[in-house]
Amino acid sequence: MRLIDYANPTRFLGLVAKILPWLAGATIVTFAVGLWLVFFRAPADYQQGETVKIMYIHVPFAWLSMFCYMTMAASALGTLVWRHPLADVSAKCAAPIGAAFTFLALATGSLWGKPMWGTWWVWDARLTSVLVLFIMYLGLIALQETIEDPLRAAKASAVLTLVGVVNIPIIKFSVDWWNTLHQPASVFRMGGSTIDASMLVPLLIMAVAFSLLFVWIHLMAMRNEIIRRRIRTMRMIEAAGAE
Amino acid sequence: MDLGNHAGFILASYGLSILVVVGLFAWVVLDGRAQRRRLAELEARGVHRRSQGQSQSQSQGMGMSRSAQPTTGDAR
Amino acid sequence: MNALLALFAREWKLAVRVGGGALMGALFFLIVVTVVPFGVGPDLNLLSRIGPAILWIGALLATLLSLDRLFQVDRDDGGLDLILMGESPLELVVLVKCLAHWAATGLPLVIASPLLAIFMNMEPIAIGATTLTLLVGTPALTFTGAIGAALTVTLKRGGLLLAILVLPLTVPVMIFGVSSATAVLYGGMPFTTPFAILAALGLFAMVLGPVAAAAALRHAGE
Repeated sequence: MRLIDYANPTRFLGLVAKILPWLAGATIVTFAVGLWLVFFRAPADYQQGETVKIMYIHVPFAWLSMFCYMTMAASALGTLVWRHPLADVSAKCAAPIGAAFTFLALATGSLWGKPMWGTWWVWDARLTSVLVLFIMYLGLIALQETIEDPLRAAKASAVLTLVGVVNIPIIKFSVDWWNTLHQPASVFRMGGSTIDASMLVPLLIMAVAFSLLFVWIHLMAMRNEIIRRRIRTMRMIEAAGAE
Repeated sequence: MDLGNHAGFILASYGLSILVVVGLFAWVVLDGRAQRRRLAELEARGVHRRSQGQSQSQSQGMGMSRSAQPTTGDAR
Repeated sequence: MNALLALFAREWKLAVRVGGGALMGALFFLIVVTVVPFGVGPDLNLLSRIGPAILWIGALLATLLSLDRLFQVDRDDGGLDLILMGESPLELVVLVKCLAHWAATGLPLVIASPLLAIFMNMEPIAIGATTLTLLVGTPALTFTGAIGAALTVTLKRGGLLLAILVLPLTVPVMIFGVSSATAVLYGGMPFTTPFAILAALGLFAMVLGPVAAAAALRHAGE
């Protein structure tokens, strides 16, 4: 069972059909457990009160916005280096999902910031980096939508995705240097996390739930895209035959 | 369950997230249905892809490059 | 090597002669800087404070606007296919084309900036610092923009998309360019720290830009 075995979309579609029900079940159960923990078990923060509940969705969205970009980068390598036929399907389908999650990271952050900092938006380092990431997602989608030929669009956006991967750490560093007001990263800080287990466990469960949701939607979108391309091919064959 | 002074912000952020996620989900499901319907229509009209249509097409090489290429649906 | 020198000369000549549009960038730069006081008001203190930033934004926009023709002219007349088939490595060709493009469009911006700085009521030291940062920073903008130009080369109206794709990538150059230009005004931070990083960004873009643009051009030509 190697990755290349699934270069055949028919086999891939078969696998997706087998996985999807389990994935759907796992996603729903994880969300149920996570949300129950968040709303009925997790304590209020002594400083932030109940608004800390926003963290349980804001932080997973922020993680996924980066995870989704990494998925696209891996797919871009697959397109350019190994020419895996499903890689560009994967990259194309991940972009709108990533943009949606990045938008939600920004929106929930803004809704958390208003009661905590007294303003909807501050130009602090992390918010600004995520905003730049959001613009990059939109640029990638725009590029994919503008080039008509799917293969050429895939290659152009793969190049841009990889350029983005190289640049994201530099952008992050520059923006950090530029200004910071946000709380320092507290979960994956060196020397152990400072967040209490009563909050960390629901947060991690919510993160797993959102990751499962991402995989679920991504696989369904990939299935749609494969069928869309089949239709395109069949229409071309039909048009060629009609001549 | 008491959400404190800022209940509106908490509900708004969860509500917005649900709205966007459900929207994304609905788009994927509806798009999938539309695509499958179109595929069924085409198949009903008797259009086949190269990989299925060996009987009608003349000499179709089954080499690796040929069978791998049309998989993403490019008729080039 | 001779081929690359000849290419540089050709690109430069094509850009500066009538219809090449090299000086359009400088004219656009002048207009952007002139429009700003109408927006923020004629307060000279405010203008001198935001002057370096305005000059940088103007230079960034002027650079982006001129970039869409970088490869498109060659594609239209078929020269791009010859370059792709030629013996010189495509990365080096892109590098030379970018350098020629910068010499024809970026350099006039740098030369014009001290004059425009006077409109902004900037102090001599700030004028010097801004001009120096633009001299080091505009090549980085050109090299980064070349990636966008190569990606959009097949499109009829790629100019706006080019700007959308490239602007996020120019954020670091912008940050360190303006930081080092304003460092001399307010103190608190030495000029050399952000300036050294700006120079590093320029060198980095000089490598990444041609490599990525060449990859994009190869795939666009397929």
